[in-house]
Parts: sequence; C-alpha cells; structure tokens
Amino acid sequence: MSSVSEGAVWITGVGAATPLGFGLSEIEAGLLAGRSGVGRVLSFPTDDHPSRIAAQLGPIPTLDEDLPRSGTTPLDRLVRWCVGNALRDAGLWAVRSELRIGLVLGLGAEWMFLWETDDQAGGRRVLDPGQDRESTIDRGRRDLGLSGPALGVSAACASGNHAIEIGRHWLRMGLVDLCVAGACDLAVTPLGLATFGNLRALSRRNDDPVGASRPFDRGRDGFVLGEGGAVFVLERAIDARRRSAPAYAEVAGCGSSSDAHHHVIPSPDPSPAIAAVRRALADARIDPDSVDHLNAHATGTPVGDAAEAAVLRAVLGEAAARVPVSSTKSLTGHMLTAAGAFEALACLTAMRHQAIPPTINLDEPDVELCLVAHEARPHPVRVAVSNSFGFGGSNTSLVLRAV
Amino acid sequence: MSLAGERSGLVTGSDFARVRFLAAEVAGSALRRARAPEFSALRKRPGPVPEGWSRTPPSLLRYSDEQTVLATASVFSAIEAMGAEPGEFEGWGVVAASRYLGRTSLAAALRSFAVEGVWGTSPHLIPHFALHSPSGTISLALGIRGPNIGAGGGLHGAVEGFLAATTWLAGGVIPGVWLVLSGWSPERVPDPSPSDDAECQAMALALRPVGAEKRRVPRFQVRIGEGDSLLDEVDAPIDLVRLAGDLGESAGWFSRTVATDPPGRVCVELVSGPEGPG
Repeated sequence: MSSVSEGAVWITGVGAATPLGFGLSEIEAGLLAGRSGVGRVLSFPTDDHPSRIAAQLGPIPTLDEDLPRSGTTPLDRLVRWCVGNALRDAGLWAVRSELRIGLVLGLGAEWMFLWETDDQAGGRRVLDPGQDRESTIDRGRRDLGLSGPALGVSAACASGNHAIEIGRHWLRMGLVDLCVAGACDLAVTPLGLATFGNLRALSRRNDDPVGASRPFDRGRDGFVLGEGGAVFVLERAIDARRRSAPAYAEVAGCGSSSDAHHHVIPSPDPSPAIAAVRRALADARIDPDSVDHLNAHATGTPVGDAAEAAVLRAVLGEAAARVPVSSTKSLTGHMLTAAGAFEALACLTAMRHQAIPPTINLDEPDVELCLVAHEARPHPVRVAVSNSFGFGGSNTSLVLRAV
Repeated sequence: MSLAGERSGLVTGSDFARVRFLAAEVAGSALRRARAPEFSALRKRPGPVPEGWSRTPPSLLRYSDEQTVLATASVFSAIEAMGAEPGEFEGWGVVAASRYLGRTSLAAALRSFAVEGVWGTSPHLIPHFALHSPSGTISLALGIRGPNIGAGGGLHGAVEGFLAATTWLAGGVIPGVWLVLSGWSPERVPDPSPSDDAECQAMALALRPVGAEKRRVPRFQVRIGEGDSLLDEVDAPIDLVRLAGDLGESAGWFSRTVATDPPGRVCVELVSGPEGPG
C-alpha cells in the first residue's frame, strides 16, 4: 500500500445539479458529448430583456421524502439535493449523525434571491426582517442532520474554490471528521437576468442559444447565465483509506489573491491572477510541466478571456503550447457562485474518463493556447487545474491530483 | 470497515493534533456608526483617510451599499488608530460579514422592476449588493492583494466571519486579515420608506496569528464543540457597540462570548485585558 502524506485530503463523494443533469453519470456524459445546456429562458417572460437565453436547471428533485424540510425555497432544495447526494455517494449518508461534518458552501446573492423569489410569489419578506432569522445554510445543516461548523462564503465565481480550500484546512486541523464543500447558485431570475443584461455582460445571441456561450472565440459577446450546484465530500486520506473508500482525487493545491483593481473588470495587470495560480501549483508541489489539463474560468467576455489567456501563458510558459485547456462554460453557461465548484467536477470527469471535455462554439480562437475545441479529446489526466476569477477581483486556482 | 464504529479512532491513527479552537490576536480595531442622512458625505469621503493612503478612487463608493461604505470607513479609522503605514498590510486578506446586505436597495429594485421592467433595473445590483461586495471594495480601497471573501450574510453571520478569518490565519493562507462586521441596528425596514431611526454599524478588526510570546493584546477564540454539546448561547446579532467597548476596556482581564452559531456549538470568545491568561 502506497503511503499518503498526513495532510492529504481526498474527494470521496460528489453531489451536483446542473443544466446538464442531476446525476454524476448524466452530467459526465453531457460534458464529454459536448452537449449544451443553454436554451431560451422559459420560466418567466423575457421580451424586454437584452439577453433572453440561459442554462437553466429545471425542477430540483426531492432528495428524500422522509427528510425534514424546514427549508422550502428552491435554494434550500438545491442545497439538500447536492449535499445529500454527495454524502450518499461517499457512503456516509446513513452514519452522518455519528460524525462531525462541517459544511462550507458558496451561496452567492442568497438574500437577494430569497427576497426576489418571495416577492414574485406575492410575499413581503424583503420588508419583514422577522422572516429572515435563519439562513439557507442554517436550514440545510439542520435538515440534513449535520453537527459540525457551517460557513457560507461568497467570492462570486471564486466561491467554490474558497469553500474547498477552507474545508481542507478544517480537516487538516482536526476541526471536523468530514467536510462537505462546494457552491450553489440560482441566478436565472427576472432581476438577475435584467441586472447582468444591463451590465452588458451577457451574450445577446438570442436567436442561437446553443451557439451563444463562446469562450475564447473571436465572436464571443458575453457570457450566458447558468445555475446549479456542485458539492464534494472532503475526507482525510488516511481515514478514507482506512474505510476503503473510493476517491475521486486529492485536493492537492489551492491558491488565491485579489486584483484590487475594479469591482467588475479584471485587472490589466495579470500578476495577481498569476500569483494565485502559482500558489496553487506550489501548494501542490507541481511544476507547470506536470499539468495535464486546465479548466479555464473563461466566461466568453471579450476582455476576461483574453486576460486569462495571458495569465495562462505566463504561468505555463512553454507548457502552454501542449497543456489542453477547456472552458466548460460553453456547455453550462456561467453558473456564477457555483461555477468554480462545477468546474472542479469537470476536472474529476477528465480524470475519471481520461478525456477532456470540449469548449464548443470555438470556431475561431483568438488566443494562443492549446484549446480542446468542439469534441472531447482522449488524453491522460492525472493533474488538473481549475481557475476561477470573480467579481470583486477574486482570483482562485485549484489543483486536483488523481489518487 | 464501518466509519461510524471507528469515529473515535478517525484521527488517533495519526499524529494529528485535534484542534478544538481557532484564535487570532487583535492588532487594531475601530467601530463606525452612521445614520442614513450621513451617507451622502461618507460616500465621497469615507475617511479620515490616513496620510499616505491616497490610492482610493474618489468614485469607489458611489454605488455601494451603506454597509460597504461604513465598512470601508471603519477600516480607515482602524488604520489611523494603529498608525499603520501603507504597505503594512501587503498580502493581507479581507473577510466581510455583513448582515442582510442590500435589503433596501433590493426592495427599491423590485418596485422599479414592477413598474418599469427591465429598463428600470440598475446594473449595479450584482457588483455592489452581493455578499462579496464589501470585501472586494475594501481590498480595492486598500490596494491589498490577499484573498477577499464575504461570509455569512444573515443573523449569525459574524460567527461565520470569525470562522473564515481564523481559518485563513491558522492555515497560513495570509499573514493577517481584516475582518469587518456590519449591519443595521435595528434592521432597516424599507416600507413605506426606509426607517431613519436605524443606525448602521461597522467594526473593522485587524487580526493576526496569536504570537508565541504572551502578549497583552486582546484575542478572539473560535471554539468548536463536539457532538451535541452546547458551548454557549448569546443573542444574535452580535452587539458591535458592546464589543467595541470591551476592546477598549483596560481594567482587568475578562473573557466573554460575543457570538454563537444557531445550535450553540460554535462560539466566538473575546479574551481581553492587561493580564491575559497563558
């Protein structure tokens, strides 16, 4: 039996809900088939919206009929589905009450979502603070029967990577027996679509939804809103090995920084983002030459994709010509707070299937990277890197390593 | 092999030290308080901006939520009180635990959307009223490039803020962190128009890892209970005015729980005074 380093933390369970489906095998099949989850928004009128397309989630399944459901909002259901399925996948659902399980979730604009959806249903929650005594994470922890510390984090698109890093720290410190970490977001709302549309951040290819999300393509005109969640069970490697738990990957490295440049626009100075990626690689003790695949943040905005390409060339150096890069946002849209967590799942898919999901709609790349376009590419993947850069200037990078 | 049956042995098979609390020293702090009519001026000048800290763009806070404005002001006040030099916080992180950020603005946005539809919706909602907005703004205002996140967001969000900040410190992610707690007291209700008897409060805490030497500086300890044990319970939200008074207290040593999570299994204690325990 090979040894594992004492601080090693493994991913032993996955739960997700995405525009590509609600089960891991369905999601992976969609990723590798290059199937788009983008379509016209059907859940509310969009005639006046500049962007009328999105990658929506659809009705969220019920996790367990016998589970307490004090939380009744769509976000509550999404959290229960993702967290519950992750614990089931790890083989720990039945024993969760006997373990101290921490919970770290990126939840984005939680309160704005709750107030808006309540308003749409005729409620007055935004005007009545007495209805807001519990947060989504409070209800989720109670409904799921988790007894460890719980933390909601927000760094926009970088939230999921931050959540995973914090969960890894908690495990290394012995604060928890296990940690469930990831992110969820349900941003495709009338106000959400309007806000991003008026920010001129969204693609306006309304007549071609499937072709609208075009990271790294010369014809990109903005991102497509997506929604969903991805959550992981993190476990100390020594514990997972002791119980012979199958593992998806090791959380090998984490790195973060801030641009300190603008609320929305990425810094023209790539050094903070470069620092985040290099910190993650250093944390994993990996050289750029050892990276087998990189899942880019690339959202399909003209400025952002080009900025990230510069970062990747700086970090990878000569390896930039051969490390396959994809942006799975071309398939799922931009899941905002949940994006980083989902893209970690996409990296696990690449490792499990030894094939890299494609960037679709990449007809005319305008960046110099080794891009995987149109179709999945068979490729050995042992080390994958996932970048997530968010509003507020957050830069994060996650390194996953096969075990 | 059953994991449940080996719960007590989960870590005994290794040399893992089982940490039960996280801690941080308070290097500086400041509380700012303001009512609604004061924010017009605060947006333009959240200062006093300490000498040498001139990099804050003049329009930085133009569209920001009031909690973000006051949080930024509280950080500058703390810096001035510390006598800190620009560059002293290089690599520091920012954790901002606001409470119900953007309620008033979202209520206005919903009214506007109902009347005008998409054309009446401000593009500033997401950049300035999401949970990460205060932390991103503060990192921008200070020009510091360590990580920044929002934490919590609800009634017990202060505990989450302390959890995040002390985790980063204990994990060696950053050399120091600005933890900024904010909220309205009482909560500002938007209907029919925002109540102007409410006071916005923001406290900036400059936190560092606890030093190896005994130092007579206040510190926070985040204790995490096991199983169903109830560590303590205090009313939420956190009382920032009382906390500011405690941090300024110079007579005798004391320890007090300042915040707990809803089940009472995570609690934040302030240990303060000139004769801190070993």
